[in-house]
Amino acid sequence: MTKPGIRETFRLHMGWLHSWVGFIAGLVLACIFLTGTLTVFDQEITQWMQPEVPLSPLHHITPEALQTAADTVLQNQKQGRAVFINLPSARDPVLRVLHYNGTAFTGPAYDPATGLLLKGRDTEGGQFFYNFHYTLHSGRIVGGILTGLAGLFLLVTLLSGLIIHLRSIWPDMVLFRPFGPRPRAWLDAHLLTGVLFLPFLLVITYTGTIIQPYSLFAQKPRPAAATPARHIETTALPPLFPLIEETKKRLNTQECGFILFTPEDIRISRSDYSSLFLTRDQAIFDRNDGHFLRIITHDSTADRPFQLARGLHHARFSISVLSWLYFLSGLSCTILIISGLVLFLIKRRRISGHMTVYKLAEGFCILTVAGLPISALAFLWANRLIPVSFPGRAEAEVSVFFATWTLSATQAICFSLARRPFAAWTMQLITLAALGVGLPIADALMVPHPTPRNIALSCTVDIWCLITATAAAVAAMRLIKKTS
Amino acid sequence: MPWHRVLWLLCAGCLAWSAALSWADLLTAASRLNPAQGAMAITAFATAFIPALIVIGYGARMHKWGLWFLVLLSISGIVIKNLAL
Amino acid sequence: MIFILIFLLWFTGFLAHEIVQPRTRKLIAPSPLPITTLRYVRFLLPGAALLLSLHTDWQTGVMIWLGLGACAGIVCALSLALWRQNAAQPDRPAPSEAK
Repeated sequence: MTKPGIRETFRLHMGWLHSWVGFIAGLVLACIFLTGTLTVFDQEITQWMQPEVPLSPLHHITPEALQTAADTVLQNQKQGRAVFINLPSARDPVLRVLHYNGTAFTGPAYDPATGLLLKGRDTEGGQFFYNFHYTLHSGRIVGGILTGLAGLFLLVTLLSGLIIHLRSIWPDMVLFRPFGPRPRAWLDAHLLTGVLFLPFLLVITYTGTIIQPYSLFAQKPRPAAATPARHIETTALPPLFPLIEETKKRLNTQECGFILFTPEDIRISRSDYSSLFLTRDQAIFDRNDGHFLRIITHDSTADRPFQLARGLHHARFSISVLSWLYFLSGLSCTILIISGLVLFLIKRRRISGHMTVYKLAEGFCILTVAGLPISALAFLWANRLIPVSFPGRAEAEVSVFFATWTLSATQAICFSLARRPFAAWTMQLITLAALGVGLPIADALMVPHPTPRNIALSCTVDIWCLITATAAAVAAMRLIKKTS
Repeated sequence: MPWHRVLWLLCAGCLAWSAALSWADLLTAASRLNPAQGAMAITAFATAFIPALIVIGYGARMHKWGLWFLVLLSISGIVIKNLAL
Repeated sequence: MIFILIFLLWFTGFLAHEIVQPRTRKLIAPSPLPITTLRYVRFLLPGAALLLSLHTDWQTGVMIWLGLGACAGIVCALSLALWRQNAAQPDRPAPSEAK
């Protein structure tokens, strides 16, 4: 037997690095990517979860509507709650007064033309997935560090994977053999998604890691400490409409994003939708009489790369085709990670299948691959089932998500330890299919949709639920066929 | 799991971390960036180079050149940083 | 419309790339186009798609080009997989005959 050359030895070592770092980080990364994919449409998910709020075509905002929102701001400030106004946009055509409840921004919505309160059910909506995506629901510091590390591990896995498959990338770029032997089909799916979505994966991982608010590497200076708790002036605010018009002129923009209120001033920012570079430029006005104070812009050459990184990662500038491409790319990267996890288990089942560590690994894989989508669907189900007037219903929805995930985890790990992993996979996939098929029916029966746009939104969600259900049912049927 | 591989990976990881950070510090200190921009630049630099250096360091398990390269990079970064800053 | 065109250009480019590979070339006999032409086509078509994507806004254009390219690649791979499966079972009886 000939001794392998340097290049071959390097590849062999990369194989170990890719498998182990990829599997351990992959369990977390699958959760990050799945929730990140849903976050592309976070506002639309919120709208679906508040079906009472009519989504009329975008009207121009009126001074009366702004006055109503300003009154709500004052009422909240009297109660010591920090709030801001989110201005309507083509994606979210309502005026919202939002506050941070510890995990998400929630608050009432108003008609931008009449200022009428659009009473929607209390929910965290798409914000829940957004926060989960970058904090894993474990706080901004711990979660930020965990997701940052996961990002670094993904880059290590990506580089080692590129080295392993370098030779086959070009000729096998669109090679997929789903009808071949099982490991081959999974490997093809892994390579296909990995190669075709490589630019997206690299950009989204790199930008996602560097824009983390709590960096692993350098202490970012926090903004000047918030004004110590003291009585906030709650005298009437100046008319906001002229301030928005002036902001548009001063920042040379078509749209404004949100209005922040400090004890001294009012800050109106450029809309995130207006440019690929997420600048958050602001115009600042005096709180008492509304006269213009200054603008804050970040247009130095040094700032541009980071604004680009934020813009590329958040993708708020995008037209709807690009949003859908982001969504599909995120979905494909989730499939890439899931296929990697499954391949890791398939390759080791024969030799290590009897070991407790292997059984645990399989349990974790099941709770990630099947358990998380089940919990996400349970979260949507909870939105429809929990009564609108239920006190603390937003928190109750989140509790349903985690309770479902805990149940799924318990079942997956117990069945895996009892050497019945296929039963665990099958049961969870069937549950996923049932939840996916049932949700459109529950939605149609329980909730009236007030406008054509609400109906279109509901149909889109229904279609994706049915696609998920079909994929889960096909996978479950193949497993049943294999084990019977 | 072969623990010597894990140890090697940790070793490569620590060296990569220290090399990337010390050089990132050096490069950003030389430019005229404000603290926020400096922190972002260090993060951007370290995020790009740490994975690459880990791959080189771990891949050098049989051929020690990679690890010596990392040791050299790390020590030189720390020494120059301490002398220059 | 322009997005569909970009998608189709990518799709055809990927198809040409796959036909050039020896494993697929064997299945298509005789090839409808000379292999040398296909070798150029697989580069030219995505290039043409890039020009189309850039004509309005280059920033979003590049991203749309990459995104549609990746999706076209997936669709091409799935179509080829189905086509290969059918080619491997050319004499499968029709459902009515099987009964």
